[in-house]
This record gives sequence, structure tokens and C-alpha cells, in this order.
Amino acid sequence: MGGYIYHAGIFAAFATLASATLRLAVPRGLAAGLRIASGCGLAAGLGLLIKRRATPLLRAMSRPEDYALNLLIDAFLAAAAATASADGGPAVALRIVGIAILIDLPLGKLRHCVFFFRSRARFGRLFGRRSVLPPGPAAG
Amino acid sequence: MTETPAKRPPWEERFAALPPASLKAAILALSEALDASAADALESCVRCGLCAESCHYVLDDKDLRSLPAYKLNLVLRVFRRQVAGPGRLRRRAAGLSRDDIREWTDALYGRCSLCGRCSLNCAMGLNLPAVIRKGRAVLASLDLLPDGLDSTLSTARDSGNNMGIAREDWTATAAWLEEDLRIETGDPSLRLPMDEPGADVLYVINPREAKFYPLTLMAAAKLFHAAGRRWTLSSSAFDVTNYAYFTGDDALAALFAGRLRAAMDALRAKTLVLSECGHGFAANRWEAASWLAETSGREVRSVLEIVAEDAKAGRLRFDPSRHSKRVTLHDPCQLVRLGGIIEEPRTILKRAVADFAEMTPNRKDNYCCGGGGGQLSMTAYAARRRSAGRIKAAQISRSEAKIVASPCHNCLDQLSELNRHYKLGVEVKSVLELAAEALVPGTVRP
Repeated sequence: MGGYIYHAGIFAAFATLASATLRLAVPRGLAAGLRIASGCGLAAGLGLLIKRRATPLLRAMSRPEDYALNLLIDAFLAAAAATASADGGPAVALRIVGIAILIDLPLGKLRHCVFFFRSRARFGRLFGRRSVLPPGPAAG
Repeated sequence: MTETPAKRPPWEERFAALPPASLKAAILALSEALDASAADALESCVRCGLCAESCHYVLDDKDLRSLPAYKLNLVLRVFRRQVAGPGRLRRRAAGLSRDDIREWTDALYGRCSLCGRCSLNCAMGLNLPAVIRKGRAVLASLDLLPDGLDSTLSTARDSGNNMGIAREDWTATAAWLEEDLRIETGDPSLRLPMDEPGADVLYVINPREAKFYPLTLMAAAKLFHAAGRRWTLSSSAFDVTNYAYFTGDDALAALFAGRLRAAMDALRAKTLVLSECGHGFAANRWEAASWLAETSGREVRSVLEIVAEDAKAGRLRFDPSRHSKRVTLHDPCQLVRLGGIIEEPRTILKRAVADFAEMTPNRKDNYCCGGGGGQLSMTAYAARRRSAGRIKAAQISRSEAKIVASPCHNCLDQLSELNRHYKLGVEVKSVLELAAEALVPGTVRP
């Protein structure tokens, strides 16, 4: 569940970044929603960070990148929550962290945001007949 | 078929004799083995740890080396270092290290049954067994299969079946079982037809049925006969198993699967029907078409589909009062989670037994018994296999069943061992056995 909330928060943060960059007028209710989603995402991110550190197996398999990326995304969520709640200044912080994320995207673990859709689509298509790549002509 | 092959040197000897050139070649083998799907999986793991909660090895030993993500990252480490990372050409010259080989063998062969439960619980939907199979394939290319699995494959390759049963012994066994069946049922028309051309069904078995578990073959014969199926066995190709499916050796897997296809063609059989065998189903039903690059469809079905179909159509009738003890079902991973044969065994058992109780969890979420992935043949990991089976033993106990049914011979062997080891006090039977025992006599045709 933490992962779902975390990722929902990230999408909200990107929506906040887009609206701040494009100087869109965001209705008060939507801004509040984005703020709450980003805040909850931040809480979930910190929770996952603690879990990664506190669970022996998870800690043993984690790399420095796992912690660094979590903190980077947490900073993004915090900046988004602040941007959605105030006009002006904090949007700069949100843009800086957003740029850092986009730079990291093709280089590290963040690549999963691209691969996710591909692997999920493959998983769904091949469920019950997994490992058949390419889908074979066996009688159905 | 020929006689059982000469004894092969043990793993340690083969490992010690490995020339440096092979270590370099292994990297090329890895590079060739990794298709787009495997590369996706290697690059997509976020080390979230969800797979830890799904793997029976991890749940049992809490060892990092048992973690599916760890196994994936073992392959990723070499992939990044020598196949995909910067400077790969220079580093590729060094090849796979001997430490890599030891670690891969222990983790990829010794700590995984390729059950796929980790994939089901993976947030990214990664096909971890496929990647582990690629890693296993690299070790297979180095002639470094663990002892036991190595000899099983050699025997199957050289003799035509994994038990090394000679053709004359197989046909004599079938004739003897046919005679026994006629005496038991008093029905002289009951047969175990051999090499009959034009049959609807070519039935292939696990060779253990011929050697140790004839009751399951007799059960199939009774059910086919009762339903009026036109079926036959083949004297030349009768082994449903395909252990190359577990080692990633696609060429050998194609050889095994091709034998059954060839027998099908030679006998002009319409449907290849596979005995109760999890990996045999996954291999012959789903994978073989790719291995053999077939361009036209083949009808390949599990015997469970056939019997369930006959039961639903009223061609088979059962008396469930013959099984009054509680029966639970173990879902073989390759047949259920990875094969899609989910409701058929339930359709049969719910008609054939009076008290059927599901394990929890069940169906695609069921825990592996621990006997898959070639584990039963790799004696070096037997203690680990029994220990990881603790999760399944607990499931069986909680079901309060007196009989555990499973439509897979590897599972039946592992469940029998768990029964002894954990003193579960249950009977372990195949689904077909239970069905045949409950068959209403009138449905056996005169």
C-alpha cells in the first residue's frame, strides 16, 4: 500500500510541476488535492525508507542508489507539497529537483518508470502461459 | 533407445577441469541467452523486497541468497559488468569468474524451484523464472549442471526417457498392466493400446509411472476406457518430462519435445495428451512451439482437461462416497500458476470425493511444494528442499485433510517426502488415482 501512495504522490508532484512551469491557474480544490497527495506520498516515501533500513533482508540487498533516489523523490514531494500550498518561491526548488530527476532517469533505477509499462503489458498478455516469447503458435 | 549411459564425472570434477576459454565463452552465452524480456527484467528490478514475502525459500531460511531479487541481481551484476556496461569489450575478455559460477550454481539451481510465485507478487511484473532460467542456461552451456539433474538429462537424451527404460521393458510393462486391469475390472475389453495409428489421443506419461507408480497409468486407462476415448501409447516416445525446461538448454528441450511431436505424426494422433506432470505440461503445451519454431498449431492438452471434460459431459460418473476422508489439493506451480490448468482438477475432485477442502492460499497463489525446478533430482540441495517444504507442510496441516491430491509426479514425490519428514500422517495420491477409484463401475464399457 505504501508503494501505491508513494507513486500517487509522485504523479501529483509532477502535475504540480507542470502547472507551476506552465503557470496554469489551478482551482483551489485541485491544489489542495495535489498538496494532500504529495504530502501523503512524502510520508509513504519516508516510511518506505525506514522499512528499507529496518528490514534485514531489504537492507542487505539495498544499494546506496536506493537510499539516494528515495531521498531525491522525497525532496521532490516535499517541494511539490510546498509549491501547491504557496505562490512563487518554492516552485524554483520543485523545478531544480525535477531537473535532477529527469537527469537521473535514463541513468539509474528510475528507468523502471519506462520499463514498468512494458513489463506489465508483457506480464498481462502472457499470464498463464508465461515464458512463451515470442507468443508461439501453439493450439489454443 | 539405447542402454543407460556411462556415469558422468561429478560437478566438482567438471568444474575443476573447466578451461579458461569456457569462462569467456560463458559471457557470450549469457549475451545470447538474454532476450528483450530478460533484459527488461534485469533493468527493472527496484529491490522493493515484495518477492521476499512470496518465496518459500526466503520464508523458510530468511537468507539473502534465497531472495528472488538477489538471484536476479546476480545475473544483472555480470550483465552490467561484462555484457551491457561501459568498457564491456575489455572486461568480457576476463569471462565469468569461478566465484560467479559457484554463486550462480548455489543460488540459481540450489535456491529456486522456478515456481513463479515471485513474479506474481512482483510490483513490476518481472518474469524472474525466465531470467533465472537464462542464468541456468549459461551454466548448462559450461556443462556444469548439478549432479543428479545432469544424470537425469543425460539419461533422457541417450535413452529416450529419464528413467532409462528400454523399449521392450516399457511395452512388457504396459502389457502386464493391461492384464492386471482386466483381472481387476473383469472387463476383457479394457486395454492399454500401444502404437495404434489414427487414435484421437496419444497419451504420454512420466516414466516413473511405468517403473514405480503403475496405478496412475492404470487409472488413466480406466478413465479413457470408461469415457470411450480412442487412445494409444507410443512404444518409442512416451516420456512427458522435459528437464531441459529447467536448465534453459533450449536445443535439448527441443529434442525432447520433438520426440513427442514425431510420435504424434508417426501415429497420426490428433491430440497429444500429457499425463499428470507440471513441467511436462508447461514445456510441451506452452514452450515447445517456440523451441521447435513450429508454424502450425498442435493440439496439446493435459489429461486433466480431458477427464474434466468427460466428467462434465456425463461420460464419466463418480461415486464420491468411496472417498469419505477429507481431500485437499496441491496446485502444481507449472500446471496452475504458469500453465493455466486451474479449475480442471477441482472439477474432477469435487465429483470424486465427498469432502474436498482447499488449501490456503490456493490456485495461482499456492505455495510451491519445493519439488519443482529439478530440485528432486539435485541431491546436494535435498536438505534445503525439505526445509523449504515446511511452508507446504503447514498448509497441509491447516487443511485438516487426510488425503493430499496433486496432478504432478514431482509434486507427489516431494509431498510424500514432506509427509514422512514432517509426520503429517496423510496419504498422497494423484488426481487420476482418486478419480479412477471413485469411477462408477457401470461406466466402464463392456
